[in-house]
Amino acid sequence: MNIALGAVLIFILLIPPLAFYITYNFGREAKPGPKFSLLETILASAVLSLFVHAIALMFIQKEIRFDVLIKLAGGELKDISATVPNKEFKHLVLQFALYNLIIVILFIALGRFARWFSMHYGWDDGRSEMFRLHSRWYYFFNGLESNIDHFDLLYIDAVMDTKDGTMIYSGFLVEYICEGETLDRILIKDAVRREFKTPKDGTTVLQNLPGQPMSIPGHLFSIPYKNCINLNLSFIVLEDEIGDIEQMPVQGAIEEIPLDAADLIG
Amino acid sequence: MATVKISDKGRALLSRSFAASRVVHAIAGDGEALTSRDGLTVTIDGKTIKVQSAAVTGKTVQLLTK
Repeated sequence: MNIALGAVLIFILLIPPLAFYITYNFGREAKPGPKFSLLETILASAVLSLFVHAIALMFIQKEIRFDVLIKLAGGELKDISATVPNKEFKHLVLQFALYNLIIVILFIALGRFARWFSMHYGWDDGRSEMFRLHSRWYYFFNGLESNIDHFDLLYIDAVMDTKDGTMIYSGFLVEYICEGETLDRILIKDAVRREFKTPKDGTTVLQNLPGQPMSIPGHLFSIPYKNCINLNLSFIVLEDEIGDIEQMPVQGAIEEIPLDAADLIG
Repeated sequence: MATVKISDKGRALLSRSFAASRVVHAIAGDGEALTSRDGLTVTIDGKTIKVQSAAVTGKTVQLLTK
């Protein structure tokens, strides 16, 4: 029990660096944390905690009862009542709790500020591992890997290994699901599929030429990444004004509108 | 679940499901045109929409500023 009390006290003193690390990295699409063992985590936190508490002590003018703290941390509770009267002990516990509360809140705020600063000033661009806040896929899908600042839509070609052979699934990427650094699936709108290889004219010989796109009915199309051979992204810029785009048709008959390549190229 | 950053224009096109579908068909059918400097002009019910690759747009801007 005495040893447990000491361990709890030490753990409380180790919280500030951990609070900073967790709040700095906490967010959507967060990169997975480093794979440290429990011992490595405690040691790293202990070193940083030493500096944190040393700086904090410089600002405390009142007397600090280190003798009581050391007794509690060491589990020496036999003569604690002789050293500290019960009333004073209560006061010391409250002061200790208040000190830790302030330090932890400060480090949570510092962690959030550091995260905001890193994102606001472009340090989170995926190039520096130290300032990287998101999974690698975040930078890939948001144009940061390609140095693209602005785009309107993300068009994706996913080459998939299916039972019917290799197929290309295309559409506008709207969402994706990651588990740590592993991409689980992508969700695309307005999906079409094409065959990866098509027969040469008049022969049965296949050539590396994609077939005609065929619409896949549905609202959202999910593609598991495990069956994916590769992904090709096109960051799309729409040149028309938003008012013009809003005048585009919501419904129509695809069969009645021939899609002639000559009409498409301006 | 993570969402890709789509602009208001992009969202407007996605909400026009038929037009969005036609644009996907156009890019899938003629992706090479998208990578050219002129981009791809898709005609839907007499209205046109011009689609361009952001990478190409960036290169064009660089060429003009040099």
